[in-house]
Amino acid sequence: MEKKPDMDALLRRALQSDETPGVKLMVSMQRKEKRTRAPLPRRVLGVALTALLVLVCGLGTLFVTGALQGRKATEGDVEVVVPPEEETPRGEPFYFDDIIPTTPNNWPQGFGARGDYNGPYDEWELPYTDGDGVAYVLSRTLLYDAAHMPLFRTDAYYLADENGQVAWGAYPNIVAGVGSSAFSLADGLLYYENANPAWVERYYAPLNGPEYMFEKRINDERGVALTEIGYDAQGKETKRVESTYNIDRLETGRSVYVYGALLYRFAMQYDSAGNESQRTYYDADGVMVYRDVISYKIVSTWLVPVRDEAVYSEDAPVGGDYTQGTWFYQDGTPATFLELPIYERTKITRYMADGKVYEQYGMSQWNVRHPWYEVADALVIADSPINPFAPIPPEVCESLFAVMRDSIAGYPFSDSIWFCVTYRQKTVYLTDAFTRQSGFRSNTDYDGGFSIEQMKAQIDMWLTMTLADGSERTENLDVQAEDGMGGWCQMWIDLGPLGGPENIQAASLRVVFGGMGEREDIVMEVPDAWERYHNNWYDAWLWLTPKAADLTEELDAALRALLQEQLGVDAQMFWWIDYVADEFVAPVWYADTELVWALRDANRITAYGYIINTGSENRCMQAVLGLFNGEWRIVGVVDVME
Amino acid sequence: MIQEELVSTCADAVYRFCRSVTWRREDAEDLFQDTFFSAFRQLRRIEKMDSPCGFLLSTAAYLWRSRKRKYARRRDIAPETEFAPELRQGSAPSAEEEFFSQEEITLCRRMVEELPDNYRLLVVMYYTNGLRVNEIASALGIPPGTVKSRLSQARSMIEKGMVSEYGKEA
Repeated sequence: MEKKPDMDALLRRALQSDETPGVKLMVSMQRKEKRTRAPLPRRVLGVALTALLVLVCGLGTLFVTGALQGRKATEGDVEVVVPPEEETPRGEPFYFDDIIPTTPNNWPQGFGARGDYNGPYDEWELPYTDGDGVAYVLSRTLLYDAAHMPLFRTDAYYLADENGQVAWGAYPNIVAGVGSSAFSLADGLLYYENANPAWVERYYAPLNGPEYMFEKRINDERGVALTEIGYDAQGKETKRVESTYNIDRLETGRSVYVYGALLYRFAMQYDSAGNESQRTYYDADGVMVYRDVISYKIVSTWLVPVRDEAVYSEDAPVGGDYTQGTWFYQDGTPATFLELPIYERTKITRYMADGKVYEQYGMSQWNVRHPWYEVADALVIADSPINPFAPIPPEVCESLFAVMRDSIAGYPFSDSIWFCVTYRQKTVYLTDAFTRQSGFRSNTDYDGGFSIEQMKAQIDMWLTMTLADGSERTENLDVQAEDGMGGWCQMWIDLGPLGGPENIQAASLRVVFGGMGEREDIVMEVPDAWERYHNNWYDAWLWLTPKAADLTEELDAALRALLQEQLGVDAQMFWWIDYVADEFVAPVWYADTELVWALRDANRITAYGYIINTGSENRCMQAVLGLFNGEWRIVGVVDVME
Repeated sequence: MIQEELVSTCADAVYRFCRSVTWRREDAEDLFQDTFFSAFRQLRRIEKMDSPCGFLLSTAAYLWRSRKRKYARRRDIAPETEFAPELRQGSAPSAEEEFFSQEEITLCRRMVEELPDNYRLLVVMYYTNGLRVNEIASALGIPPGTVKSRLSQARSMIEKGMVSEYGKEA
């Protein structure tokens, strides 16, 4: 006989419990040491061991003193016994044991670890999830020489499937290097392992992953030559990257051969002072395409252990701050540290072969989404119809701004509904997926890689608002997305005649995409501040603008004055942001990173974007200002010149 | 000491979550411990958070996903025939429990255990931890609407599974 239980009540009964943890938070140094064997064996032991040491002492004390209130040692108390070391054999899944979880969509927490390399290095992982809960991880390792010039970088993007396995991973990207940890794939799974400089690695992309296998060879222990070979799914060689570098002179050369498509080379060199570097890009015939001159500034300093081994401290606070406490090497001798400067990229000037010059400001060295910085990589995937990392064409930029100016003219910002629909090509590059997940909308949508055909998509939108009296109001918007707006359609609805936002009980947006070979209805309800829908084709947002972000005339004037004072430019306000912290992703593009972190840590961000009147038709600038500790500051500036 | 505060404030919630998703006490304790391990490495960040417990749950969920296969392997080695029996110990039957037969409860738990991860996490967070939709959305990084729809779908799947099981028995 069929039974139909009250599922809600039944689930509450079945799953609720009053059980409290009977776990002693006990660990051992041995455990942590073993945990470092894989997958990230070169993690910063200084930080980890210190944290564990403090943890052992601190929590041990907590238990002894009964400080863990309310959790008596009951029969359930279990002293966690560390199992014998379990080396992960090849072919077994890779577990993200040491990945630092972050709130999805968070940007990395700055530099996560450093110190046990013979010289500084940074390493972080960035887990994030898409709207379907699929976890992605970006892992990046950067090694620097004593002048803090990057010697080596590995990037890996990988995806954990529902079973916690790595389903696929994008290949690591080595800029230059003399050996470090590296990623590898075996049996269709991604592995991370320590590597000798003279290594050969093979990367096998499984189904649903990138359509090529990848093989990397470093030809001698000096790392003077590196060959990366890409294959298609049939095993045919499709790409070859040959790199040479001389660590002593801090020079790097690289040639990329994409068969049948592109040959591409660049050379990179740093000046001896370490505050400026140059990269020159050549075409297949050896003719210079452009040269980048990159400027840096020293923003702070690091303390780095002199010896190539981990350090520990018994009295330093958790977190591995070498400026506090007494530090020792593993053999017990006092640790000594080098004080190294931290550089931050401040400007890139690109000199094109035809005489044009482009500039961009405020990039930091860890800004992985800097578009120009990634150009070389982008061109490696030269079969892409559009370089996904190309700067925004000025005419598109200006057109967009014009649309934005027209759209928002006359609408008070706190009395509007703003919604945004973006779309992109179905083939989402990993890097694109990465930024897409970070939620950044405008510029990402430009450099996200959509094709011309898809830009002609017809998008129909119906916005239905339910008012307090129960009535409904529907606004229909048809957007022919080939009108210079790129992949971004947005409209403002004046809520004033409808009684203001407080009179809106609910809103839903129905979007129909057509013309891309697919058609789909999206229905979003907005009981919450905003909601977002996305798949690989398009994103859509809809939210009520919060009242807190009113831009008064006085504030507007003050911000303009600030821009005039600090940048020497006239500006016109064009958009504002008032995101909760995790959604504020503009810093990916605008790059006063420390300020952005601080803003984000404040858990709420108010920022305004301004169009800057450059007085030139060939130059497009925008700036973002953020409120920081009660003081408005320039978060970042984008400057594109034709 | 922030570690102590973190433990005092969030341990119960985190443990309940760990217990519910892993089903085995040993795994739950492992997960619980590692969750706090991870948290202790990020104390500076957590200090600034309004909802550290939510962050810990998010961490636990992530770690659990990462290690699910490991836990599953353990269960293959030492299968547990009854779901969390100790959760039931010492509890007097309530009116609710009397209303729902133990058989129903056990079957319901089994159905929850068989849910795909994306649904199971939500169900556990919602029913075991008592998190609200927005809190779950924040912890898992998905839209609130998705949480609602998945909860609804999960209930439907559980119900269908139970009805199917009853049908077999009949």
